[in-house]
Amino acid sequence: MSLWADKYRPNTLEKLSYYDEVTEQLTQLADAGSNFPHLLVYGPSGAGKKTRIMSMLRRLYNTTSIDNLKVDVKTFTTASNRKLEFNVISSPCHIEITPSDMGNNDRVVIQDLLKEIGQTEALDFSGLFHLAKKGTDEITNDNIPQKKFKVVIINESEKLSRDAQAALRRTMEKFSSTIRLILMCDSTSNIIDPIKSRTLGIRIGLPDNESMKQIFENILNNENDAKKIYPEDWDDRCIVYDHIIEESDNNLRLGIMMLEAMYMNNDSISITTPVIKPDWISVIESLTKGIIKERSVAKLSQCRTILYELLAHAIPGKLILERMTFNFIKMIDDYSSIKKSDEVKTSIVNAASLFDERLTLGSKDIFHLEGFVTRVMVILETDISSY
Amino acid sequence: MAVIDDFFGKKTVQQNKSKRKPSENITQSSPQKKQKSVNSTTSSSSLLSADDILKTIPDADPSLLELSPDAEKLNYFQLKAKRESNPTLNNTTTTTTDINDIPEGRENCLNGLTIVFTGVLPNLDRDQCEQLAQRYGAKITKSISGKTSLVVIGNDAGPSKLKKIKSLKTKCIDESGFIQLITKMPADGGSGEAAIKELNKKKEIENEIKKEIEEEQRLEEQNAVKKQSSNKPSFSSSSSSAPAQPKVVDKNTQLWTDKYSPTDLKHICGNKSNVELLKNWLENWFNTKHDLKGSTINDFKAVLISGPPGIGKTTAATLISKLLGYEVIEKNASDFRSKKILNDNLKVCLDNTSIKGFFDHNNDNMNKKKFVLLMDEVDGMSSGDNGGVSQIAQFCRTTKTPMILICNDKSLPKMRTLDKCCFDLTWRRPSSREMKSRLMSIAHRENLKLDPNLIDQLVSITHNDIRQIINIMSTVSRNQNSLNHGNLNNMQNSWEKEVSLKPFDIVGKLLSNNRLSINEKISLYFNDMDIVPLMIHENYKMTQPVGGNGGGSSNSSLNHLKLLDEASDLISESDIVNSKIRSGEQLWSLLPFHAILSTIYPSFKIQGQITNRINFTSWLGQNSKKMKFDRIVQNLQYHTCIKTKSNNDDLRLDYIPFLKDKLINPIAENGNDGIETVLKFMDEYYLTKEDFDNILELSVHGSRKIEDKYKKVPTSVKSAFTRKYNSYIHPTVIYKTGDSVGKGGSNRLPRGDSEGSMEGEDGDVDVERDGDNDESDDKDDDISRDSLIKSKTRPSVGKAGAKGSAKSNTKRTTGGSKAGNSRKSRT
Repeated sequence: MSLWADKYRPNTLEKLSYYDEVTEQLTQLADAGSNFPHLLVYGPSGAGKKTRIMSMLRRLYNTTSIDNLKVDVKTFTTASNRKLEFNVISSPCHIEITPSDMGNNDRVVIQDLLKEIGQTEALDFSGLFHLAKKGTDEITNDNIPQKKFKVVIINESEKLSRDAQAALRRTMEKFSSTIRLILMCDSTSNIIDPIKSRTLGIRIGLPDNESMKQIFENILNNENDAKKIYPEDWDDRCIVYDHIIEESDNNLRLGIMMLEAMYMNNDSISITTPVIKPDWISVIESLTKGIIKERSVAKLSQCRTILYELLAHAIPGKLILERMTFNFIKMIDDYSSIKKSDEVKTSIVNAASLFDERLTLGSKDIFHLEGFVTRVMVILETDISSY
Repeated sequence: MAVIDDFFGKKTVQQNKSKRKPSENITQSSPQKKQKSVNSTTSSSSLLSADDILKTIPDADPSLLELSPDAEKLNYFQLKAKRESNPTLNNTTTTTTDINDIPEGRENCLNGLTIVFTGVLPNLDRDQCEQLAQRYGAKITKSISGKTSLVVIGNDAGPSKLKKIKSLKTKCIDESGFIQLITKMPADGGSGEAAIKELNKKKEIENEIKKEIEEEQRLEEQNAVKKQSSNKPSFSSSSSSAPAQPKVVDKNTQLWTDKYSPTDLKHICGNKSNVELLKNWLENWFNTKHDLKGSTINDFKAVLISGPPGIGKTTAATLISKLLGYEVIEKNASDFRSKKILNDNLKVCLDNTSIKGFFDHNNDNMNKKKFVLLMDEVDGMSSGDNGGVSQIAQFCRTTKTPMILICNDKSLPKMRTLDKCCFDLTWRRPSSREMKSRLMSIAHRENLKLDPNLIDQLVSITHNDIRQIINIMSTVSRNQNSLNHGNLNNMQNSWEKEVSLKPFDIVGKLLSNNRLSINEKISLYFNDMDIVPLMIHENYKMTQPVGGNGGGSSNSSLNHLKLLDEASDLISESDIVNSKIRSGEQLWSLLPFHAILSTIYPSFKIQGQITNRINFTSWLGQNSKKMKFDRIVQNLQYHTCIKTKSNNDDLRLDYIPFLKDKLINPIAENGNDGIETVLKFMDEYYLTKEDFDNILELSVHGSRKIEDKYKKVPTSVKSAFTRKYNSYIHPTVIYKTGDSVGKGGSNRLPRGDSEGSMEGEDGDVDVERDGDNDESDDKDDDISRDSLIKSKTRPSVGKAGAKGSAKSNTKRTTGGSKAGNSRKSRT
C-alpha cells in the first residue's frame, strides 16, 4: 500500500540502478571497514542520496537491523535554561539527526548529542561471532573488519548555522574513533571550508532521462494494474515518460510520484494526457504566466497574495524564486511581443541572483520575492514598450 | 485645467501683494513701525463696522469659485491627496510667507466675525491663519452656514463648500484680502451689530466668572471656619483624632489640579448629562433591582466610564460618590490586582457595609454605611494581574455594592469581558466653552492674567485635557504673571502633547505628499519601528507617485513600475540590515540606517496621492500562518520519516501533494468501502487523523480540487471514517525516552511530541473514565490499577512504533478496559 516511491526504493547497493561508478565507490567505502571516512553527500533533492547511503550502511554493517528504525525524543537544555526536545531517528548501528529543526539552537544539539554518542563506544558483535566460528588462534588476524564506530547522519546540513558547523569541526576529529559523520545537503555552498576539507565529498546527481525511463518501466512491470492503464506501445509510453521527466525536472522521487498519480487519476493514459503536477508547481507556473501577460501595479498586488499563499504553505522562498526564473526563461520565447529576448533573459537571471542572495541574507522572504517580481515587470515592460 | 487655475490664482495673489506693498510698506522697514503707521492711517475710521471694511476689500478671484470639472468625480482621499500634492508644486515657484510677516492688527479686531477657511491658501499655512483669526477674537467654523460672515478661500476648495458659498452668497475674500482685513479692522471688531453683541456676551461671561469666583471664595472661607471649629474640640478631647490632622493640607503646597479639583457638581466641566446619569444611578442603587438584562443604566450593578486622560473621569466619580455620602474604596494601577488578590481583598467588601459612619460624627446627616468600589485604570491591568479583568467582570454580576470602573480605552480586547456586565458611560472631552469659566476663575484666584481668547488655543494644544491646562498655568505662574500670545507661542512647542501616532497615521503621512524633513521622518519611524516598515511594505503600492507622471502619459505606467521597483529594491535591501540588527550580531546602531532604507527612502520614491485605504500589515498574520504550517510539516516529517526517509522540504514538495490523492481518493470514490484502504495507508505511514486533516489543509490556494473532492464525501462516510479510526490503536514511531513512563498523567505534552503517546493516553483516559464510577469505592485499588495499565501501555506503544505491530497493543488496552468494566459490574 505504500507509495511507489517508497515501495520500489532499493535497499542494497546491488539494486541501485544509475551512476554505477558512484555505486562502485560506495561499495568500496563500505568494504573498507574501519577506514571509513567522514562523508559529505550532496546533490539535488530526489536524486537518491539517502537511498544510496542507507544501502551503503547496510553493506557496511552487514546487517538488516539498519532498517529497524525508531524515533526517540531527546531533551536538551540550552544555555538560557530552556528545554528543547529533539527527535532522533536511530537504528542499532546509526543515528540520524536534523539539527536544523532546532533553528538557532542547533549548536547545542551538535555539541551535546555528538559528544554523548562519541564518548560511548559501540559494541561490535560481528567480531565475536567471527571469533566463535574460527577459534581462538586466529584473533590476532587483522582481517576481521573492526567497526567500532557509529555512523551519524546529519540531514539538511546546509542549514546548520555557522556556530554549529564550527562546533562540528573539532568534534569530527576528536571522536573520529567512535563516530563517523555523513553530512547530507542539497548544496555545499553553505558548508564552511574546514568541514569540506575534513570530509570526502560525494555528489549524487539527478538521473538522466534513460535511467529514469528504465526505472519507470521497472515499476510498471511490477504493477500490473497500472501497466494496463499506461499506453501499450513502448514509444508512446516513452513519450509519457518524457513528459513526466520534463515536468519533474529529473527529480526521480517526484517523477515516480507523478507516475503513480497519473495512474490513480486516469482511467487510461495516452500521449496527450496532461501530467499531474504538485499544486505548488502549477501555482508558480500560472503566476509567471500572469506576470508576462500583464505588467501593472494591480497585477503586483495580486502577485503578493499568491506569493504569501505559497510562502505560508511552507514552500521555501528560494525555490519559488528559482522556479519562477526558469519558468520565465522557458516562457519568454513564446511571447512574440518581447523583442530582445536574450537580453531580457540575462537581466532576469541577473535580478534573480541578486534577490537570491538577499533571500539568503534576509529574513522576510516576501520582501525579496516582491522585489524580484517588480524588477522582472520593469525589465519586461521596458523591452515591450521600447518598440 | 486645475493646474492652470492654480497658476492664475497664484498670479493674482502675487499681483495683489506687489500692488499693496509699495503703497503701504514703502517707507517702513521694521514691523513695529508698520503697525504704528497702520494705526495712524486708520485711526480715524475706528468706528467703522466690519461690514463697511469688508466692502472695501475686493472679492476673491472668481476663478477660485469655479469647480474644476473633475473635482466632483474624485473621492475624498483623492481630493485630499491632490490638495496635498499642490502646495509642493506651488512652493517650487513661490516662497511661503511666514505668518510673522503679517502686519499686526488691533486687539480683538475680528471680534464678532465668523470666518470659514477653505481650500489651500497659496502662501499661508491654513492652521496658522485660523490661529491668527482666533487670536483676534474671530470664531472659526468648518462649515459654511447663514451665520458665516466671510469665507477666506484658497485653491481647490471642496465642491460642496463652493456650492454653499454660491447659494448663500457669502462674502468671499482671498488670502491678501484677509491680511487687509486684519490691518484695517478697528479694535474690538468696530461698531458692527455682531461685534457689539459678541462684546456684550463676553462681558456677560466675565461677570459670571466673577460671580463664581466670589461665591467660591465665600464657600472656602466658610469651610475654613468650619474646619477650624471642628478641629478644635477634637484636639482637646483626645489624641485619637490625631490621624485626622494631616488631612488639612496647606493649600499652597498642593498641586493646582488638586487645589482646584471640583467640590461641587457644577464645577465639573462638560459631560453634564453623564454626570447626572451617574448620580441618579448611584442615588437609587440600593432601591432598584439590577437584573443585568435591560439596556438602561439602572439594570446594571456596575458602570464603566471610559474616555481620554485628563477630562475628569475619576474626579467626577469620586465627587459624586462623596456627595451622595458613599465611602469610596479605590483600587488603581498602583495596586496589584490579580485574580487571587482581588478575591482575597475585595470580595469581602462587596457584601459588607462600612462602619466608618459610626466613628465619624462630623457629618451627622449622613450615615456613611454605604460604600462604592472605584476601580480606576482598569485597562492598566497588565499581564501581572492574571485574570483580574475577568474577576472584576464576575464581581460586576454579583456585587452588593455599586461599582464604578474607569478606563481610557474600552475598545481594547481585554476590556471586552466587561462589555456585558457594565453600563457603558463614555466621557467626552469637554469643549473649550465648557472649560472657559472654570479656567478663568482659577486664573483669577491665582492672580494670573489669562486672555480668554487664549483658552481655545490652550485647549487645542492639549487636546482638551483640562488637567494639563491647569498644569501649564501652574508652571507659567512660577515666573510670569500673565499668559498671553507672546509667551504662549514660545511655549507651544514644548507644551505640545507628544501624541504617539498610530501606524496608520504615520504611514499616511509618509506616503502622501509631504514636506517633512528627513529628521522628522526618522522620528516618525521611531514612533513604532517594528510596525512602520512592515506597513510601508504593505502599502507602498497604494500611491499614485508624483514622480511617475513625469515622462509623458504613454510611459506613465512604466515609470510607476520603475519607481515601485526602486522602492521594493530598497525595502528588500533593508531586510538584510534588519537581520543584521535583530539576529546574532545585534547591531542596533544600524537602526537609523534601517529607518532610511526601509521606510524613508522608499516612501520618498513613491510618495504621492494615496488611492486606497491604508491596510494593516499582513506580514504578521502570514508569518504566523507560515509558522503554523511549518510546524505541521515538521510533525508530519517526524511521523513519516521512517517510511519516506525525506527531510521537511522534500516531504512538503514531493510527498504531500500526492499523499492527498492517496488519502482522499478511496473514500471519495468507494465511500465506506474505501475507509479500510485509507486507514491501512495511514498506518503504513504512521499518520494520525490530525495529520490527515493537516495534509488537506496544506494545499496551496488555486488548486483545491482535492479539498472539493473531500467536501463532496458524504458526512456519514466521514463520521464512519472517524469512528473506524478511533476504534483501534494505531502504530506510532515516536516515544519519549526516560520520562515517558514517569510523567504519565501530564496532558500537556510539549511540541514535537507524538500523537502516539497521546493515543496511549487516550486509551488511559478512557479506561480511567470507565473506572470513575467506582472511584469512591476504594481508591488504593483504583490507583494501582491505573498505574499498572499505564506502565503496560506506554512501552508497548513504543515497541509498536519500532516494529509496526499494533495488535499486541490493542489487546492490552482492551484487556485493561475489560478489567475496568468488570470492576464496574462488581460495584
